[in-house]
Amino acid sequence: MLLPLTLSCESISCPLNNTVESVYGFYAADYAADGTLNTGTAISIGDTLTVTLLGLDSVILNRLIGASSMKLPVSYYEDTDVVELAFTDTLLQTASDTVWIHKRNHHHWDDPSCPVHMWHDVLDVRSTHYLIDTVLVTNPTINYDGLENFQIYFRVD
Amino acid sequence: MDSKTSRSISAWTNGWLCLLSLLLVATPAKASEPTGSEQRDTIVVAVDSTAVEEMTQQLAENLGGEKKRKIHFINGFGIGADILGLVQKVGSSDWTNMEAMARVNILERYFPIFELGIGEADHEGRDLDNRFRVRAPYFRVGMDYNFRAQQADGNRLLFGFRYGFSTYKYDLDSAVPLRDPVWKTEQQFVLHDLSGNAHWLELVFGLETRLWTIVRLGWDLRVKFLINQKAHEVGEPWLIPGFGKKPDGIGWGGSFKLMFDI
Repeated sequence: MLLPLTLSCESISCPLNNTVESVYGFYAADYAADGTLNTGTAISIGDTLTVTLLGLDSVILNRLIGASSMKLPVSYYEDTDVVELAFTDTLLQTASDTVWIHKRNHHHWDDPSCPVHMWHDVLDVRSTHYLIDTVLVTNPTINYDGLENFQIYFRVD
Repeated sequence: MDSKTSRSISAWTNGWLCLLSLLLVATPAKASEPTGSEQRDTIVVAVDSTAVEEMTQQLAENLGGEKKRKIHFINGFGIGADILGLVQKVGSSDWTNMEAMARVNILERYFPIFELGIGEADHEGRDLDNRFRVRAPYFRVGMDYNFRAQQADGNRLLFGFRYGFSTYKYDLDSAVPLRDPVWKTEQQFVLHDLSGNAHWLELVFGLETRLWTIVRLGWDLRVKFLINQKAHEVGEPWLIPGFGKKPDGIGWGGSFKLMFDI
């Protein structure tokens, strides 16, 4: 009687929210008198934000307005993702910044009966500085838990 | 109890009853002699009370079918194997733990035990082509306590614990390449020799019976608590050898053992 009991008990728990995305938060670059960055002052972007990823023909995020964060897909197999952020103001003047995300990719699975995903460990990040002041890595593991991975600090002057 | 044994005990008991009856009738009187005019022509049946007590005790033991055994500090050793694991293997289950065990019998009450086995799995995902494979040894050490140590029938009611450990390498792969839905690139998903190890504790409840002289058969149920697991970053193994499949760090298991007392 033990054998059927042993062989028939199986449960599968695949995560329901399983989209792997990098999460960016937008912040104001506010410096203290001693020159240190005061972190954590969230802002909403007044301009229109359009995002493209190098290597893709299409726009990945089109004309985002008033956002305080964004989520972007991450390449499965590239070592570095290049993200271009174009800000267009009401006078249709556009300023762009580029962010380079250097990462290590690895497979992740929960169960043989669940889809395999790619997770990413951020090794380094750098950017141009037309509008962006600083990019901080707050959570280097990019997976499907929805936590903020990057904080982008914009110039406020 | 088989009919032959039953007949034997019955015959032995009848013999003692017969002997006791004879003693009651024929044993000469040793009571104080009446003196003078008090003397009567009376037949006095006297009984040797010590002898009767011994015989009654013997009789009671045999009516119960038992005889007290002499129990030594080291009362023996036992070896055995889990039949359930072999049945799973033969039955083409996609996982099994096959193990052998050795133990010491201390005072028929304490049973320090060592279990050594090999756990293996070759499991394909449901509706997917993902495949998990592992084959690695494991061991457990612990002790059982027999709540029926006073009983001479040889049956045991056991409660105990185990500490288990396994170190293993496992494979994950898929026949279908993993495709990036945005960049449209794909690569084969083949990961071999991913290292991991695990420690766990088990609480064991079991029953054992003596089939014939040194041969015993028993089963046990176990609840298992994962203490620590070191898994590869890719993901935890579908099965930990010796522990089994692990929903939320707590597992259940059991065994059906054939053992030999030596």
